[in-house]
Amino acid sequence: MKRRKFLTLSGIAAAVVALPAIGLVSTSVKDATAATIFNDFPYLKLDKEGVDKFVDALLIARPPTLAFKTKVRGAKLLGMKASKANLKFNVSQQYLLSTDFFRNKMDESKPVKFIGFYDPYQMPCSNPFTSLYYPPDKS
Amino acid sequence: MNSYDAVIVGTGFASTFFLKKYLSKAPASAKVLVLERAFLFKHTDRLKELRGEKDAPINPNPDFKDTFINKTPDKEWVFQPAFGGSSNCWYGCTPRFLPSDFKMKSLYGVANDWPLTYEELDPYYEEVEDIMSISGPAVTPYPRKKPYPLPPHQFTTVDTILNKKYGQLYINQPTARARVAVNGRGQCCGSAVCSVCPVNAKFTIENSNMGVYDDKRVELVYGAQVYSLELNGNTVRKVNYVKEGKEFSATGEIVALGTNPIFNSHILLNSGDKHPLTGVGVGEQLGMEAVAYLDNLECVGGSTWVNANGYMLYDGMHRKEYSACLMEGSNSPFMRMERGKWRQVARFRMIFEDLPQESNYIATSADRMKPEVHHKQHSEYTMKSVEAMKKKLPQVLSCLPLEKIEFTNFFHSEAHILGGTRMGSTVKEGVVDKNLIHHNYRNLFVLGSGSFTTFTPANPTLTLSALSLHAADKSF
Repeated sequence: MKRRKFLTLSGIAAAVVALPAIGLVSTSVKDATAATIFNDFPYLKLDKEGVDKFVDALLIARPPTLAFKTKVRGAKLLGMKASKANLKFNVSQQYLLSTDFFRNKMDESKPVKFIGFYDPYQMPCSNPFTSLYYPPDKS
Repeated sequence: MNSYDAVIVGTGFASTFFLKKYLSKAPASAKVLVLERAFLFKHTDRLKELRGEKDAPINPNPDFKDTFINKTPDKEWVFQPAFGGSSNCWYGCTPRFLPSDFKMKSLYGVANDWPLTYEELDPYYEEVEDIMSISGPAVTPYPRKKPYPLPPHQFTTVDTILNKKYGQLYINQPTARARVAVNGRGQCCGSAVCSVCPVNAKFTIENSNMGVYDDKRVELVYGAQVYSLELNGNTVRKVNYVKEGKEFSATGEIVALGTNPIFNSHILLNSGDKHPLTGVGVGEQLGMEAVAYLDNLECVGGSTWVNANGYMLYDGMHRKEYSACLMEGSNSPFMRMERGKWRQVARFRMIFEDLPQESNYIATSADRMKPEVHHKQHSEYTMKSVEAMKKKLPQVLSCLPLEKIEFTNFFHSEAHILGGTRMGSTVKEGVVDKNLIHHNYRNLFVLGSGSFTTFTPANPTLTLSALSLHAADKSF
C-alpha cells in the first residue's frame, strides 16, 4: 500500500471512530435527554420549553451518572427513543406523568404541557389514574 | 436497678396494642417501662426529608440494614428501627386471615394448626379495625359481625369487572389508608408512596391517638437496645439493655418482647433459651407481579394504591399440594409505553403463602447486638403454587380483554418478617402458647408475627395486632 493511500484510509478510519465520540461529548446531557423524549413522542404536540423545564428538574432530582450521560448521548446520536435507551429509569414515563397528558385523558390532539416534575411528595394526589381524575360516575 | 410491673420491649404494632389492653386492665398504681432502641422521627420531619427541604432534621435512627447480619443477602428483610417500628414504613394493607388459615393441618394436612381459632380472634380483629379506622367492603370472604368503620375504597375499572365475576372473592382491599379523613388523618388519594404517606392518611403508631405512651403509668426510654434477658427457672428475672454505651437492667413482673421476629428470637437466643424452635423457621411470603395487557380497556379510577384483593387462588383443597395465593390489584401510576394503549394494562401483585422451614433461622453472632439471619429457600409448597398460578391466571382473568400476561421476577422481600417463635399448643409444637406466653418462661410474652404458626399470604399486621390484644386480654 502506498503511503498516501495508507494515510487516507487511516484518516477515514480515525474519523469513523472519532466523530461519534465527538458527538457523544459535544452534546449536552440536557439536550440529549430532551431529544430522546421528542423521539419517543413524534405524534404528540410537546412544548419545547416544557420539555426543557422537565429535563432541568429531572437532572436535579436524579443527578445523572456517567452511564446515564453516555447512554443518553448515544441515544440522541442514533436517534433513539428514551424509552428504548436502557436508561435504568423511564424518562419518558416520568415526563408524561409530569404533564397534563393524562389529565387530558390521553387526547393526542391537545398540546402536552409540563405541569411540574412528578413527585408525590412535592405534589400529593397527582396520580392521574385515580378516582380524583376518573370520578366514579364518569369512569 | 429499677423494678416494674411490666417491661415492654419495642414500640411497634405488637407492643403498642399489647400495652393498650394491658393498661386498660392494670391498676392506677401500675409501673410500666417501655424500652425502645430507636427514637421518634416525626412524620412531618420524614416529609421534609423526602422533599429535600433545607431545614429537614437528620433521621436519628440507624439504617435497618446495619442492625443485623444477613447471611443470605439475596433474600432481603425490610423493617424500620424507630418509635412506632414498621408502622412508619408499612403500606397499610389489612385483610383478615381466613378461618382456614388457622387450621392448615386439620384441613389440608400441612404444617400445624394454630392453637387458636378465627372465632377466638374475631372480637380482637374488630377492635383493631376500629382503632385503625379500617376502610373495607360490606362483603368479605371471611365472616364479620359488623361493617368496617370506614367505607370501601373505589375500584378501578378492571377491579369492577373482576368483582362482578367473583363477588366476595374479589373485594375492595381492607386498608388502614383512610377512605375519608379521620382522627387527624387525611384521605388517601392514591399517591402510591405509602411507606411515608404524603397526606398522612395511613395509620401509624404516631398518629394512632391510642394514648398509651402519654399514660402516666408508662415510662418510655428511647435509645435503649435490649440484647438479653436473665432467665431463672421458668421466669424472666431481668431485662438487659444498653443505652448510650452503658449497661442497664430492669426487672418486671411480666416482660413482653415486641421487637420484630428477628430481634425477638435473637434476644431469646442471647439469653440462653434452649427451646429447639426458638429462632427456627423464620420466613416470609413470596411475591411477584403479573402484568395483564388489555385490549381497549383502561385500568383507571381507583382511589388508593391497592384497591382490591383477589381470593380466587387462595383457599381450597389445592392447599394440600401447594400454597394459597392472594392477589392485590394495583393503582400505582404504571403504564404501557405504546401509543394509544397507555393505561390498557393492569398489574396484580401475587403473594404466596409459605411454611416455616428448619433451614431458615436466626442465630447469634460475635456481636451480641446483631443477629444473623439465614434463609436458604422458600418451600417447595410455595414454589409449586407459583407454577400453578401461572397456569391458572389466564383463566381467572378471562373476563378481561386480555392481550397477554407477563410475570416479573420475585420480589426480594414482602417486608413481612414471620416466624422464629411460633405458636403451638404444646411446648413440643411451639415456643409460645396461644396467649403468646413462652412455654418455658411463664412471665414472658413474645409478641408479633414471629408467633405465626404458618405463613398465610394475607398481610400480617392486623392479625399480629389482634393477637396482642387477645394475649393481654386473656392474661390479665
